[in-house]
Amino acid sequence: MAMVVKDNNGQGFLEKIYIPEIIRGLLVTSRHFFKNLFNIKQVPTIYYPEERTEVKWGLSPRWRGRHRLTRKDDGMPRCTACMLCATACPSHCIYIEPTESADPAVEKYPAVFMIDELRCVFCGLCVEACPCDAIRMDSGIYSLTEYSRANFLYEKDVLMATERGYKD
Amino acid sequence: MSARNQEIEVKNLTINGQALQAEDGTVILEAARSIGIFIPHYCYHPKLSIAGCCRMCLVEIQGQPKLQPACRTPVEEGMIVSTDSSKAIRAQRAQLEFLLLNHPIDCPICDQAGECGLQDFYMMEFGQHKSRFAKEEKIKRPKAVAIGPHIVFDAERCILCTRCIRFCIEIAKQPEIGTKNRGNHSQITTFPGQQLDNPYSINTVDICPVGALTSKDFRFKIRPWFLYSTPSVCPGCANGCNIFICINKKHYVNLQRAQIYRLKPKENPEVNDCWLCDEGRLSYKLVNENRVLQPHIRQDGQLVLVSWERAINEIKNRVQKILTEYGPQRIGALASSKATNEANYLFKKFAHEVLETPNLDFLKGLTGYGDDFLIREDKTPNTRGAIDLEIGPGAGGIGAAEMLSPANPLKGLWIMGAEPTESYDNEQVNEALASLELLIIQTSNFTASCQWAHIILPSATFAEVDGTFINYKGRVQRVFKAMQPRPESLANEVILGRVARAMGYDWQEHTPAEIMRQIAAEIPRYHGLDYEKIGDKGIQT
Ligand code: SF4
Ligand code: SF4
Ligand code: SF4
Ligand code: SF4
Ligand code: FES
Repeated sequence: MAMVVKDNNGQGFLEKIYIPEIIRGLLVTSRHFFKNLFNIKQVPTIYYPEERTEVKWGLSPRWRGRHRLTRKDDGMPRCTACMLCATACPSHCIYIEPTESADPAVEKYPAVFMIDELRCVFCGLCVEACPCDAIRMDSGIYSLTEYSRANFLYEKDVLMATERGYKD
Repeated sequence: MSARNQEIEVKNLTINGQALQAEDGTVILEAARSIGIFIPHYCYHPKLSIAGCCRMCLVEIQGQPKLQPACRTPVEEGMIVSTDSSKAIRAQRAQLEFLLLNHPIDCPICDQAGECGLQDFYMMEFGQHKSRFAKEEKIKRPKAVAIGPHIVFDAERCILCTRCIRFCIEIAKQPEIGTKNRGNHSQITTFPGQQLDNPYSINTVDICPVGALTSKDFRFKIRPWFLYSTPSVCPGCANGCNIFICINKKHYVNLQRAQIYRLKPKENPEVNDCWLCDEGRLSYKLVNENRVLQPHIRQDGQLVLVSWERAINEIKNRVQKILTEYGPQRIGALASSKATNEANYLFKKFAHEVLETPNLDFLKGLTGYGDDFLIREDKTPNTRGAIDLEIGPGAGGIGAAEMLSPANPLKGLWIMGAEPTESYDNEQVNEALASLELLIIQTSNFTASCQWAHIILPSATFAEVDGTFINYKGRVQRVFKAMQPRPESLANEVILGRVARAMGYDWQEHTPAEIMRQIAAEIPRYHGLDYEKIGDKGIQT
């Protein structure tokens, strides 16, 4: 079938010569510019880090922040070291060393649980994979800053000490 | 062959509409397997007697009012079997539901997850029903009970297939476990005052279709889906059982180095059927632990780490010094029945051409418990190979016993892949080694004799090289390279080649396959052998 090329579909003469359209566009830009210039309080820009999103608007509960590990009532990790998160993780950044628990009903728990947050792509697959609701990304922590790369290996104690980031 | 065919009657039958022939006495399950139809089963195991107790394999046979267990119904002429009729499928589903009635929701902590018969059938194929039994109503049973030195038992996960019991009676020949109680409360238990403790006990973990029996050694170390298997031969004794080496290849957070997590038996009816002894199964540890990771040279009584160039240079100078000052009669060379044929063959050539000495022999390694099933007294995998390659003293040379006695005439000694104190008296060996001017040890692991070594060269283990072992019956079998050697260690044959070239000999670099061809050309017994012919099942010579 021959190809039909339609040029400047639905455009009149004024559009075709461009100049009036450019002026129209500039008028829209300038209107906003002057509106904002005289009403600076209403501008949606956030002056990070003096201003914070979570304070100004609150984070969405679906938003994926830094991981945390949930705890059981007795303070032990909920995690059973099943390694499903490590299996699901596309960036292979979860490292778990399971060990035998003294309680045969618990049987297995992680001796080491480590996430390399630098390799993490914050996809949330680990949270979805977890059968025990042991790993969550609801800490609300989005700013990860450290002085060395090694510090980005977050270990079990840090992950477990983190609390849920928002109140609903 | 044709005479045999006449004796054994062949039956014609149809399974799921596919016509096939099977020898008289074959059970339906095996006949179906031969044409690629899988019938789910738990208690049936091809190497054990038939129990017919799990009822997972029920199939419909035309003309019979009730479903029949495929694992114990022999084929008959004109039989019409269907494994996928609605009746059979309903039975499979109902049976799985029964088996799972009291089953705990344990998969996250269960070591079997990933290679579990229940998971396979329930989630993937035949079950897929919703549980109608509340979690709280399930019967509670003992969990994580150590029932033997190597085995942990979980009574809740057991489906009472009795494979483990039959294994202990029929294969290990040590009945140590049985069932107690009845009905819902039946449970596997060890006999009073006994443990599941026989030389073959970890096989029960392999044949247990669920996570009821787990291996203490492997438990929780890693998930099986992270493991990759390479066929090989067990280095534990002269029987040469066929194995799979399971290593991890996925390194998360870059923290995990490739290492062996377990050995699994590989089926070979000529050698080990599908079994492995516990000792051999745990023999992989030498690959992971206590490795020599870099060349060492003794300076002022201390072993210091050096580069390969430095070590080889040192060897060249010191060996040449001994050869010129004392002559080749004063240097000795010891190969090992733990090394591959390829390494031993090259070592022999090395001793003759480079060290120019007739003082050549091999060390036999440890001996210990043996039985009439798999385990041999000779605890090294390749004694037969070393004998067949005629690793021994040449004209006017001395053997291992003499080399390692305090009265030896030696000034220098080169040991490859062996530990002398394993086969000879400790004190005598120490005295002999202490008096040497030059002791070169080529080894993968630090051993007792390293304390006397002047130069230690790191070599690769059996899991890190290609090569062949010859078992006590003369069966040539291949070991395959399952992983890269540790960064600074090299295969024995590569080390020998490098030293020979450094000392001015025109040695080509040969792959193990090429060395095997040289061996085959030289030793009449192995005429015409090469890696292709040996394959992964081995060849009897
Ligand atoms: S969020 Fe994604 S990348 Fe990060 S740890 Fe979880 S699975 Fe891995
Ligand atoms: S998936 Fe959940 S329970 Fe399993 S190892 Fe990860 S965090 Fe732990
Ligand atoms: S035996 Fe199988 S189904 Fe049962 S808990 Fe273990 S892995 Fe899950
Ligand atoms: S422990 Fe395993 S092999 Fe033994 S009866 Fe139970 S399920 Fe079968
Ligand atoms: S496999 Fe046939 S009854 Fe268990």
